[in-house]
Amino acid sequence: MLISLYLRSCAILLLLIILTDFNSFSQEKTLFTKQPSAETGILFQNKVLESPELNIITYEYFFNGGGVAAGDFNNDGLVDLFFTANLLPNKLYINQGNWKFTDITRTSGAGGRRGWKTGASVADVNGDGFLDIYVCYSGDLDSSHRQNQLLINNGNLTFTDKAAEMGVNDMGYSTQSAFFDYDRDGDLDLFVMNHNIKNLRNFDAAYVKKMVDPGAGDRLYENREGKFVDVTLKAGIISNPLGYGLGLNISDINNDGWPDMYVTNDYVEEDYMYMNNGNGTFREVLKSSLGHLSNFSMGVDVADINNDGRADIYTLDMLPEDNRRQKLLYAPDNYELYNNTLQNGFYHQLMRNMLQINNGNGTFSEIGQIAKVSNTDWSWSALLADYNNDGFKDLFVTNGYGRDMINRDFMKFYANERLKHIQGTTDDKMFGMLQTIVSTPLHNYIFENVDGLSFKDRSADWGFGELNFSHGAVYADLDNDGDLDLVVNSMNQEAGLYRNNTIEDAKGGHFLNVNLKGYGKNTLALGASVSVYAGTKSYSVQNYPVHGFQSAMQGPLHFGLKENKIDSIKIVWPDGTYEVMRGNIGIDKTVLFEYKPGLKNIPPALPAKTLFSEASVSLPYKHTEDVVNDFKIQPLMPNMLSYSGPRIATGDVNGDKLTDLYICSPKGQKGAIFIQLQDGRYVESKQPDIEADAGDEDCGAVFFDADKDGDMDLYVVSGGYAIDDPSSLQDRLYINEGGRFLLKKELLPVDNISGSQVTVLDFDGDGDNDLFISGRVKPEQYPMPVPSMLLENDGKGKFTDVTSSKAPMFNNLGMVTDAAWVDMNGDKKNELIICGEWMPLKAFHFENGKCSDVSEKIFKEKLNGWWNRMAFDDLDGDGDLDMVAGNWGDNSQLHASATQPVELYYGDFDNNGFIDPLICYYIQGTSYPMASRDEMTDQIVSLRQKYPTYDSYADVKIKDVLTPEQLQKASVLSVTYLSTTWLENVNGTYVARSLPVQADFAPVYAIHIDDFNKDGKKDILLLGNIEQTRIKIGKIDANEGVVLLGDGKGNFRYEDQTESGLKIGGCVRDVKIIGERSGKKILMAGVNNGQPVFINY
Amino acid sequence: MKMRLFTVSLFIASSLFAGKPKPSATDQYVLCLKKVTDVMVNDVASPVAASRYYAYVSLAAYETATLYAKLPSFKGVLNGFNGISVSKELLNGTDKDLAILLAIMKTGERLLPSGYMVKKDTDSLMAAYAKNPALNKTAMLVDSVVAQVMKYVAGDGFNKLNNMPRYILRNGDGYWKPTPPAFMAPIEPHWNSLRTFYLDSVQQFKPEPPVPYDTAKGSSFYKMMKQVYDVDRERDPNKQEIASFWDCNPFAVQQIGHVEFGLKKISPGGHWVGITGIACRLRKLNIEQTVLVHALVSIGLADAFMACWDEKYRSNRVRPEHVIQRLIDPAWKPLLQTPPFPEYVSGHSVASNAAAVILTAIFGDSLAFNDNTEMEFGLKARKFSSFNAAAAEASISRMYGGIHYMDAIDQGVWQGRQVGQFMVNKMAVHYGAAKNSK
Repeated sequence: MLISLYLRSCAILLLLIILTDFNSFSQEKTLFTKQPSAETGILFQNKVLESPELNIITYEYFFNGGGVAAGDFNNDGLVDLFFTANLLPNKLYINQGNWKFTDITRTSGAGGRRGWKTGASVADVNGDGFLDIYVCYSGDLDSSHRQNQLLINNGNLTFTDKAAEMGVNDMGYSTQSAFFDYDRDGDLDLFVMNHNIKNLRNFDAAYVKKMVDPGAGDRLYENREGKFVDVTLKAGIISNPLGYGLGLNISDINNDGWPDMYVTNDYVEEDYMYMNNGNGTFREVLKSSLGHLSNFSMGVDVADINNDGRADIYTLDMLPEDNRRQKLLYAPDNYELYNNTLQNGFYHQLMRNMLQINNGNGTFSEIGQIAKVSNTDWSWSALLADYNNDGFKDLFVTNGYGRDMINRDFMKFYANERLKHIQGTTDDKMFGMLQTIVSTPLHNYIFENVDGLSFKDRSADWGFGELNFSHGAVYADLDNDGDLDLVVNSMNQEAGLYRNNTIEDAKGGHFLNVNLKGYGKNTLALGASVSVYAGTKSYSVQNYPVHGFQSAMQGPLHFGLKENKIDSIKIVWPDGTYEVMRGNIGIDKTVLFEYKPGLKNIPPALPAKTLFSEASVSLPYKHTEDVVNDFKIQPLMPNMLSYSGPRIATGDVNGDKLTDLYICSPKGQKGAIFIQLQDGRYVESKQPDIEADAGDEDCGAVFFDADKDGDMDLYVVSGGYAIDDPSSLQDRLYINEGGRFLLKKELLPVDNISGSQVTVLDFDGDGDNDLFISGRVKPEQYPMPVPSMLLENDGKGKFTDVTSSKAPMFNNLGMVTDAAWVDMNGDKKNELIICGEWMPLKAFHFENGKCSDVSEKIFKEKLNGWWNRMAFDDLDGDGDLDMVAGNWGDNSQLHASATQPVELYYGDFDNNGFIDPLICYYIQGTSYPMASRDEMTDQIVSLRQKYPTYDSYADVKIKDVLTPEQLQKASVLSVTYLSTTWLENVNGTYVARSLPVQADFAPVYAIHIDDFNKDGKKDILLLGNIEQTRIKIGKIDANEGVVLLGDGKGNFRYEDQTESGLKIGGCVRDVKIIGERSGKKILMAGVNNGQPVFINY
Repeated sequence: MKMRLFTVSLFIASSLFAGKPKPSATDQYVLCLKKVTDVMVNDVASPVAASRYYAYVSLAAYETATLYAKLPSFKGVLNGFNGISVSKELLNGTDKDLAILLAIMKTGERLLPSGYMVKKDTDSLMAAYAKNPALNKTAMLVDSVVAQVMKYVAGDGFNKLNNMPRYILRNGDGYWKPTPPAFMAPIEPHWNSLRTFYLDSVQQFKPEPPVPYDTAKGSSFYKMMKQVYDVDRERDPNKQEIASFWDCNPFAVQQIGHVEFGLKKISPGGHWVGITGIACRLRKLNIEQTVLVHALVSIGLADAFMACWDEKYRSNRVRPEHVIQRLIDPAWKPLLQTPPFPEYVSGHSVASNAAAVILTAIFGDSLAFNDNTEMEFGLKARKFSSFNAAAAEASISRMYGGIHYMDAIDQGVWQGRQVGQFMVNKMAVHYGAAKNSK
């Protein structure tokens, strides 16, 4: 009895717990809630069913889905909705308020024709005050079925197609269109973005790029009194057959008041970034503006995401977030294809979403991976808007593709197998095969913009957990409550209306909605730009309706606000005039501004006074790499090591008190001594001994007095990874004899270490200069540890290797990249501080000429990183030496922490005499090998039998790949910290402190510390970037010279590129002061495989 | 079609060996080998890789046969091969035919990436012999043989290939570049580092250097290149059929937008192994002869490919596709998909002629046969009056297909015949056995 009572109460308790849990779950309302179609009345579905005649093979954009257009078609103050369906009629719904809509497709005449319908645009094309609709047509149909429609609004909720009459019945394979006033003549012109329906990938690029293709090429139409005239070629628009246009955005990208354009292209053709010349023509500037871009670019949005007043660009691609789909879908790195593409004149394109931050100087920094918005799978719409009214524009992404066409197993195994067993016509066979391809619905992504540069994935807690195939989408305030709702067009599913609960649930924040009334035929002032100022903050939005994939929205411009009042609003009208409204404008409401003639033109922005200027320096040198591909030797290395230069050594070689220099040069190019003349020119000094060593790869160098004769001798470290001749690794000492540098082989021990740099030190305190030589890599055996060397000077310049007797721990140090000899604890004795790849920062102390490892004492934490460079100075003004250490950064797929390290398992696992380096890193909380199935099985051939298919490899972890015995035998390196950081010297111990996020935009290879803004406080300049990486990692190039201004207390703030004046492209590998002119210091940045850059301050 | 049905029904149920008319041991041998071929096709074994698999598989089968019959082993004949030794005890109570068949399957299992797929067929073979009292002992014997063959395999240098430097493109228009549509890295640039089976070295029969690259209109090279283009423009259905018949591309990449997949066929080596099977059955050879003939052809093919690959990565010549696009027609595409490796010399020419010489030495120069090897890939059978006639057609087919110049074919034919003839001379004993033991 007792027992049963006990059990019963337990059961009730359990039930209660379950109920409570359930309740708390159901009460947890997400930011967005999907409105049931039974209530809204929106039953629209883009139904797309495959048939043998119509499928992804007969028309390759079969799964691209439909669009959404939002706008107030009856001018009742409520935003109405128009949906395109590929095959079935489009639908027009009138918003009745209270989340009720009426389908007026039948009476309105807006349902469209038969044919394949794609994008929809809204605009008041004829300037009569009513919104019109432009619908794009495509499909593998003859041209008469592909005429785009211009549905002119008759003002009574009926529409008449006037496309032919007005000259815009474009018969290309259209994806989307945009109306905008490109020539600022007061009426709306039209851009139509088209795509090729044929697979064009085997071609001679130069030849094809010159062609003009009526079906695939994009087109620009100028509005001349209501008739549209094709001005494509005259205006400089590219219209070739390689156009696979998928994303279109009009924005003023360079803030000159003229509308610019960004067009994304699928496949090999780059996106187009058109700058408006203001004279009826455009110039395409993509390659000079971006370091790299999405490969299979799909949707695009342009908006100011960091509230600096400049338009940033976000493009979508297909990289999945999870490991499994990456392994199943991602092709292995193919350098042949990548290089072939570059050689054909195409650009750096990588398969992932790109977030291009506008630097305001004509260039962009791509930071999609550090912002964590790079992997959203096969994605269509990107919508940047402030969904939670906190002042930062958040990001909504739709995605999904009908079938996993690029599944590797399908490609390599199943397709052939299926085709073999299906009987019938070719079409039937193909269709049968297609039906067997996996179909994977995905959830849409929504990201909260946290601080302008970092995003947090809110897909689940903001209400987007549902799996589907979603394409077109818009944001619009459907209930006029002040927050932005979302509308999504999904395939074979009812359209989704997502109600934003920010205002209803009083989740905080404020808003201001701004309506504009324009002039002439541009009744809605398309092209206007509105900025709202509140305190120190400013928020800006441009008035262009085309956003989202194949979608558009014309509604009030939405501003979310953290502040509870605003100070002023600035409107720049489409004609370039502007006005500023001050005073009590109020918030949490919708305001209307009308254009007034006679306003002043906005003055052009004055060039700001910058901290740095380009210095005109005569120093004729160009670093010219011998082209090698390290991945041909060890395909699984993360980065190439053959592109490490140039380092620069400085010193006064001739005693004239002017800085001279030595530039380290790659194999095949002679290292060069440049002598500074009194007039500031640098001339190369002819040095036969140095020239004779041009076959060596110089990795580091130093001027120092080796033989105590009072002049500067030169030590050069030889290194490299792809070595033909081991004797080329021998370092060189050139003794200065009256300006002639003579190689003295007899003064150095024989060495075969591939080094990275040399540090001068007096470890034994005997008053002469000893040397520490860092070992970088064992050629062709990455990542085997390599010895570093301690060389003792006999006082006359003869050096002996004393590593084994004085510092035996250097024999096995790891892959060292930099070292410094500094007195960091003020005991008048220097420590040797070193850093390296896959290494912690380390410190060594010498006592009586003997070395001991004091890393644990000197560094508070063990910071394992991919460290490249160090610099020392007093950053917080407390009199001791602080430190800045350059690391890999955080702008790649690799992220590391103590609990989620990046790891490297290595050993000769297949016993063939070669090292197999297997990198693993965390994806969604689990560590997986980086190598794809093919890369892994090519490295360890015996694994081909273990992983015969991609599926069999898709979930494996390192402990599955390696047997327990191999795992036991494996050496493991680990990285827990990838940030570039400054380390505060706290009573002789270095404590890591963080730097602004810009420090981690790219790997840092050069650091310079000084007071740049002359406020008496030390500032930091970081330089770097990397191009020679695995394709999967990709070119990282977001650092154009990051200036961090110090407040003298150890706090740093990033100085905008327009204010620092820096725009240094390429891979910088060293920075040195090489002189001073007119009171300004001259900095030289050594750029890999390029001209050095000179700046002064 | 008949052939295909037969193939499919092999090993389906043990009924094959229970009551119903039992296929001859020779038929079973051919069918087992076909099973291994199917898995090679699945795995997209490259032409060179396939030739190596065939060589070891047939070597294992043949050395097994030598345990039972008075047949000359390849011990001491093949480079580095010390033969197979098994104890009398192990041999006692085993079944010869089954042992030979199992040797094929079990070696295939060990060698092929998708060995697990071969294993399924091994299992059904074993099931078919379930009632045979010798089954278990035979399997043990074969395991021992296969282990010894695998030791021989381990020394051929294959396991070092994956760590040799990947191919680095040479600068210059005359040198090979990756070809559309997949722009794959070239296949096996270090194949010449493998141990040859019987050639003294891969360079023993070094072809003449190719006609020098020259874009001047009157040059020999230009004329050869133009010939490829002109033949293609003829659109001669007969030539096109010949080209397609001998395509033998293990992985023709199809790209339709984002849809990308490979269409698979047997390799040139696979085709000639198929012809070898046809010949053995046509002449009703017994299983010992069949195994020996297959071993000779397979080993000959393997060395032929090594010699050919040595030349390919010495001359590194550009494919017609690139040159014709640049000099004549930017939109030109060859009839056959260009395979991903350098042009000179034609691998099909080398392989076909080596095989033809070897087969002619055994069967004579007038064995007419109906070549239905490619029927399962939708290609009509073709009749040939002799092996040499077939080889000649295979060679010229590469020019018809737009993937080779004429000198690569001429020199390929020369190299193939040398490689074949050298074997015939060197292994007179084996040829004698193949001809006489009937």
